[in-house]
Amino acid sequence: MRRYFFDLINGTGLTCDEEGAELADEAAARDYAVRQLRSVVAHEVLNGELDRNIQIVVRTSQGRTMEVGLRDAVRMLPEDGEGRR
Amino acid sequence: MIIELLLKKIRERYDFSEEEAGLLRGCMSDTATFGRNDIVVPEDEPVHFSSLLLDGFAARTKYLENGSRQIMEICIPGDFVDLHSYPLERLDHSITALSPCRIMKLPHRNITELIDAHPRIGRILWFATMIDGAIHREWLVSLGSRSALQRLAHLFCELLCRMRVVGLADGLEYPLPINQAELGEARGLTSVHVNRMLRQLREQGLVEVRQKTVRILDLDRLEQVADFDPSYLYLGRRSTDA
Repeated sequence: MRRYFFDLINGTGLTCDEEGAELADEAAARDYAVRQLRSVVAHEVLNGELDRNIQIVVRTSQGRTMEVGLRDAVRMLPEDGEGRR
Repeated sequence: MIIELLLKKIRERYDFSEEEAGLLRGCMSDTATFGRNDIVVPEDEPVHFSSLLLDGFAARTKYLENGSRQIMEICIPGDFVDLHSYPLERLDHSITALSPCRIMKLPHRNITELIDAHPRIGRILWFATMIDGAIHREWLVSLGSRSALQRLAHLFCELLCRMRVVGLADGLEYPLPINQAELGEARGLTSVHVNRMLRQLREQGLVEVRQKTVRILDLDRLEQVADFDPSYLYLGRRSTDA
């Protein structure tokens, strides 16, 4: 188990995570970040906005481990004219 | 006087004489202490006493199959965490310690004797469980119909009212020893989202949560943002005597 921190970067800037979460490994940290991002995006959509550059930066006490963006969290369907039937 | 906070809660609503307080106190038995995250009352097990929270915070909690949990009420000092276990004899949920806490037991057989001999005290205890029901209804509204920001704002307003009743608020400030993940479990949000909303509440000059302390910066605006109406807490004197 290791403590991972999940900083959120979106249109309003950086929200730094000072608490973090104990997780088994990097794969678990990625899953966790994906779930967190989906939830934030869902609520933002309910408020009528979608920030396509939203990102969660995952780090440990040793530094940055990975970034998880909208495309990692949500399957993006093609827009009209991009192969949609 | 160990049940002092409970008496404050009762006397917020009812005249309650020293004699009645003595009767209630005489029914209480021993105390027990719990560490953070300990189960105070487990789900679905026979219970023979109700637990009065003397100090510390606890959560009414449902543990789900997928390992997550939902918090349905935050219990503060002076609350009976499970007065309803008297008629129910078991709980359909757990009570989990959110911080180190100490409870005092009220054996169910003593409740029977007490309320048979003093029905008025029975009605006053009944009222206490009705407040839990009202809080649950308000939380349902929050989860179903309020925005993420409102859900948190509403909780901070509610806890200020309840902490004031038991004299644990210092002006607009009160302790709340829970982390952002637990706030999320109570409000149907993830912890990153809670963190983001706490930042927004702080930046808007509404409330600041730091070092396990909630400091409300602008109560009027916070209540407005939260759509908070404290009437569900039934504060103040009851018009009919119990």
